[in-house]
Amino acid sequence: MPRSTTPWRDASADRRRAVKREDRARDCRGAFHAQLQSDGRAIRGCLSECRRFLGRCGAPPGTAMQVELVLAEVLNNVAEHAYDPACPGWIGLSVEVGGGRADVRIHDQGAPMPAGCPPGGALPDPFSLPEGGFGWYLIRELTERLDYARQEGLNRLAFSVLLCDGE
Amino acid sequence: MNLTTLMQRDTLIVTPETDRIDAASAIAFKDGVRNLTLDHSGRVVLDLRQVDFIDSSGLGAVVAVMKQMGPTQQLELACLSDGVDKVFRMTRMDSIFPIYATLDDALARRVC
Repeated sequence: MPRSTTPWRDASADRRRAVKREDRARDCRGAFHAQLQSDGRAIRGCLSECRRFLGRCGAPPGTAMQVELVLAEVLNNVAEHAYDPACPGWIGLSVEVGGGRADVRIHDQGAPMPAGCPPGGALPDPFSLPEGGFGWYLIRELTERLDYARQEGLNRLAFSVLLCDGE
Repeated sequence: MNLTTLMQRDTLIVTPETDRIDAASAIAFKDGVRNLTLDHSGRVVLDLRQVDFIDSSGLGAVVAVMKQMGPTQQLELACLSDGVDKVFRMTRMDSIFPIYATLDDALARRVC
C-alpha cells in the first residue's frame, strides 16, 4: 500500500523553507532615499513609499512591517521632539537593503537628543497602563547597531534591521 | 476616522474603518471611540480586522480608550492582524487586554 503523504509538519521541510526564506531575504537589494517635512502626513506618505520599496526588494512582509514600525517611531520622535511640532523641519532618510538587512540612516536639523544619546528604551510596566514610552523600547528591540552622533548641527541616527528572521 | 458599531447581545463591537492607527490618527481614534461608547455599559470589543499597522502612539491611544472608560465598561480586542498582534505581545500589553482571534470567540469569551 503506497504511503500517503503525512499530514504532520515535516521538520526538515520547515528547515529548508526557513533557509530559502533567509536566501530570499539575503538576495533583497536596493536603496530608498527621501527628504521629507517633519509632519504627520508627510511621514505617513514616506512610510507607505518605503513599504512599497521593501516589497519590491522582496523583503518578507513581517520584517518589512518591522522596518516600517521602527521608521514610524524614529520619524515621529524627530517630528515631536527634535523639531517643534508647530514649526516642522526637514528629515533626510536612506534605507539600503542588502546582505539580509536594512541599513537605515536618518538626519535632521532639530534639537539634539537629551543627554546627548538616544534613550535606553526600558519597557514600561504594562500594569501601570502606560499611554506612552513604548517608542524607544520598540526601536531598541527591533534594531541592531544603533548609533547616534551630533555633528555640525545635525542629528545622525543609524541602525540596521534584520530581514531574515522568518515569520 | 470612520468607526462603525454593532450591538451583539450586551456587547458593543466597534470597528475602525482604517488600515492604520498611528501618530497621525491616534487622537481621532481615541475621541471617536470615546464618543461611541459613552452611553454603553458593559463589554466593548474593538474589532481590529482592518488595521494592519499600529505604532506606539496608536497603542497608547488604545490604552487611553480603556482608561477613560467607566467602571461598568470593559475594553477587549478581536481580529488582530499579525503586525498588530506582534506589537501588543512585544510590549506585553496582551497581558492587559483580553484578545480574541475572531468576533465569535469574543462573543463566546474564548481567549486565544
